Amino acid sequence: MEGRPLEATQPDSRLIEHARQGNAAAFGLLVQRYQEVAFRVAYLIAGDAHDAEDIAQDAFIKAYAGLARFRSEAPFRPWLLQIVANEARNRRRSAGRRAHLALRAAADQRNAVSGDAAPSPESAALADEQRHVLLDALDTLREEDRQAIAYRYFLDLSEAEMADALGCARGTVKSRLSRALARLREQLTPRGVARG
Amino acid sequence: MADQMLRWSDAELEAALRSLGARVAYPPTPDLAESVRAQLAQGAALMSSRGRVVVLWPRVLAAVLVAALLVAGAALAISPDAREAVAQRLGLRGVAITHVEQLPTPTAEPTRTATSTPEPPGAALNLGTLSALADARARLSFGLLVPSALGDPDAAYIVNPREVSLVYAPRATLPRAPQSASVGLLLTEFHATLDETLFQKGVPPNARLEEVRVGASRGFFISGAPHSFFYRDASGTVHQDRSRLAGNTLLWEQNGLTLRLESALDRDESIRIAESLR
Repeated sequence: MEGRPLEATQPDSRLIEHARQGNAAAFGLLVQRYQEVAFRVAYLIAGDAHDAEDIAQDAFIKAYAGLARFRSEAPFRPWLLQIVANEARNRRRSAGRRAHLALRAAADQRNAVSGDAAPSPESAALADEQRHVLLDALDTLREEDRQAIAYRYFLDLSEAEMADALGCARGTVKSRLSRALARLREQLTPRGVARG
Repeated sequence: MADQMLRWSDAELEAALRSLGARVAYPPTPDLAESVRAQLAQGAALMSSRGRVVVLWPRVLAAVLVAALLVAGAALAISPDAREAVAQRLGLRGVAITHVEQLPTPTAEPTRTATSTPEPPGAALNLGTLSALADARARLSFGLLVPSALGDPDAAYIVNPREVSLVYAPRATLPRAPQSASVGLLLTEFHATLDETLFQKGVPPNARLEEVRVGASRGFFISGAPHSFFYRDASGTVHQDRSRLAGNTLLWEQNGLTLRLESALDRDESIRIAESLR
């Protein structure tokens, strides 16, 4: 059943095919390949590293259990991220937690640790303030807007992946994103910022 | 500041967001490959953490489980869900192993005094119709297998042409089985079809289920705690047998038959007898 040794360079479709035949090592390679993006998507929604780990892990297990109904010609990553996002949303809904607070903390922490990333204290300060304004504005957005922005600009997901992760039609991703950006822009007004 | 941001073009806003995203200090990505493998090995795919049932693909899961069992080598105490999952793809036709929290107290076979009318071993177990070995061979739809290590059984019981039980009385090399004074070993042979469950084992939490090899076949050995026993009668009704043997059990497949060997013997001895089937 295990067949010949699998290589990490095998395309997804090949690994999936092997995993479907019961090759656990093949699925292990898929997990390795996508654990970072899965974990980060989970983290952006859940806002907690421990929760994100649980979510990503459960998502992989669900993906494994669902391989039978996965169309082998379809790309694996969007499908996986959809499972991750659903899992994360469901959990967060039941936990009632606010993910963006953790995002802010993470961004702040990063700044504190790597303050030398900015060319000068002045411009760093400027960037800091802009970042806080942006984060405040993001905080006030509805979850789906915030997620659309995070998927696109933080995680660099493709439109197809965004569609799956957001649970919407591919054709609507662009309009969703521009709507989210427009709402973000609205929140950048002094009134919006003050509210955040 | 905010004024300046208000004048940002779309491209500038997007660039700012990308820059913000680049500053997110994601926690280090944990090694999920390892934890996923461990979870799958424990049968976690059966249930999500909140207890929702997740549709399984038993063949795949069982393959992982079996791989895990093999890696672990000998005995491996596995979770209830894993037992369930193993059962789904034991590769043993007609066999299901089910996790149970509690077992009914077995009704011990009545102790017989020396003056009792001698009965063939296993007579109290409702195994079927007592048959001479030759009759049993004639009635069965498959070739009866007998362990050469033990010789001919002391009694044979036929349920239907597809199921027979051979009973061996206790002897020097065959200790009395836990719940039956008259039985040292019970070997049941089924000619089961793929989609039916002829019998089912209720495995309590403290029982051990391990994968073994019986000759070239894969088998399972259940030990460490009594397990309840369910069986299906000729009419298809499933019964929980409260008196039947519930000792160590070896399950395997051979010649298209599903075989069950129950006794007080340990794993290696059970396998030795199983491998002597002719």
